[in-house]
Amino acid sequence: MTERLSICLIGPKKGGKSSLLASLVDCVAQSAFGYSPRLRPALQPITEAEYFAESAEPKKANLLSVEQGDYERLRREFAEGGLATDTLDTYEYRFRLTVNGEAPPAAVLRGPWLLEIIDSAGEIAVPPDGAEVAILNDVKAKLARQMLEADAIVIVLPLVRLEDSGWSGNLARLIDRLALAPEKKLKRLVVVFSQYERLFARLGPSAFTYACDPAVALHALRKSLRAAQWLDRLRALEAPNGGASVRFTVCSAYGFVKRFQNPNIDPHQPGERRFRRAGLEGARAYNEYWRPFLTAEPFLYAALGLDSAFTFSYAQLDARIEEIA
Amino acid sequence: MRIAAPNGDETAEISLERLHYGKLAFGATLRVPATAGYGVTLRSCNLQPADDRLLSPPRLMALRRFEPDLVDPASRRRGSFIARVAPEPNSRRAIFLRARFRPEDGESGHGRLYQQSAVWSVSAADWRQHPAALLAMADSELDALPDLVTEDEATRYNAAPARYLVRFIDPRDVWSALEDALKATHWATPTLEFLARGAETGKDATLTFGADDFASETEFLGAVGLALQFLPSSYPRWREISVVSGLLHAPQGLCLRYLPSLRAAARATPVAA
Repeated sequence: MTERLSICLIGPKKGGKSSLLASLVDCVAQSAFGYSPRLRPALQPITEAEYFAESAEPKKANLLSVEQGDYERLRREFAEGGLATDTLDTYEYRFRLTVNGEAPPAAVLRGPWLLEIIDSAGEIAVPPDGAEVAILNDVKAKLARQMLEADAIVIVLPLVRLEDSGWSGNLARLIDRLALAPEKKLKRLVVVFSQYERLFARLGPSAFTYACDPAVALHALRKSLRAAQWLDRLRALEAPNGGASVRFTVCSAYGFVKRFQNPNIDPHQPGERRFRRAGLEGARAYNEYWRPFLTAEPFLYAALGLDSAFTFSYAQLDARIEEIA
Repeated sequence: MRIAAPNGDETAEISLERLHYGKLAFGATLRVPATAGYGVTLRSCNLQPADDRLLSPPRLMALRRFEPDLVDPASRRRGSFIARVAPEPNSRRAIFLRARFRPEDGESGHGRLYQQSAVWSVSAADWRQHPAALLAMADSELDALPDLVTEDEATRYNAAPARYLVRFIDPRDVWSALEDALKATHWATPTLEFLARGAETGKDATLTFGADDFASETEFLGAVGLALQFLPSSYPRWREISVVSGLLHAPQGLCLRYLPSLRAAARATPVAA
């Protein structure tokens, strides 16, 4: 049975929403997630026509087709250093998700899933506090409608700049409004802290080992949540009264370097670039070293409702606090 | 408005409304501060916030989204350019747009790119009467530069329209220059044929020139300005004409386009598609 799901990506500008999305398919393809490898998910970008078609079966001709379209362009822009998403529209990317391996029957029987992931500029939903940002009214209205109609929302927050953020007031107000909106269809909400690799910048080749420990992620999340008390407002969205399940996770679109295992930010290149093979251009130059980290987590949870080793509920985050108390 | 210039030539005053979309910047390299987000950063006093949508770059370029790979590689620094009657039905204004992607960490930076654009809006009647002068002005003065963080917001959202005096060109001078171009250049004949055929058939078409036809955008805009200046006032598809430079996408209608990366190896003659 085919299930169509709409997932809205929101968060402050420069938080890594588009990078998270751009690395999603590679993360699934490289099994760089915290789910069991036996889950064997597969994710394929599809066109708008395929998304709305009656049948969710992939067309035979697609077997040999070269990836093109908006998502491929997004991946290319990510490879070339990124592009700030403009505020002139919201942008939809569509995928076909299947689970080919072991999963709870309740999950497997529902598939395949056709996902519509909505990306937008951070300035639209989470403008800087106190700033008058001239955003087109129809774009704001479109994103508001998409958020209310979304089955899941993924909030992307940069992990390393949370304390000095200039947008927490507006995000807190957005969460409050969302909690009070009776017409929302929200079933799942995932808060993902991006740029996780930067926490391990000084650990060199040990970085990946520490990053792969869910206990380290849990510790990092607890620390971040202590610095962002306003995120407690998300409890109002939780079932049974709020009707949604809330999860927290971490991710890194740049990830850790294959084989060398250090954070994938090349200090010898200008700007913030990943390590690359000299003499090659575009995505090919990065593929030898690039392995994203957990960027599939928020989307797989949003679609399947399955927890991985790196998705944490409020109950899990609260557990240690209760122990201490 | 016609004004008699001191030397006896007739001139007209053209008023240009301005709108900038992008991010505010600071410093010599025009670096974008971390706090600056996208928005309309300058709007002339005679434009309304409701005009922001009508003058948004993708709409003017007839695109769903303006993307870096739509900019000709040789035009990346200055950006793509388009001049046309505004696309809304029965529009009484013409627009000139310069749009590009520039690094957030300054003009020669290597950081994340963002979209910066500048739009001029003039009356469609002025565009019809003075295409050569307006294209020359746009070539020399329309740049997609960010506004400064230090500039007062009230001033930026209440900017005075730019005003220029342009000289009416004697049609005999236009014909004389075009006659020379017909003899000495490769662009004049295909351009005039393209416009004539467009009027006859009513079909959408694009005439693309490359680096072998014009050494620079300035030359291209000068040539197209001359050809458009030559068109009779009764030309039926004037509103459908667009002049495009450095953009790999061509709007519907009659599009005269320059792609500086296009060379003769890619095609033997200008292509009417």
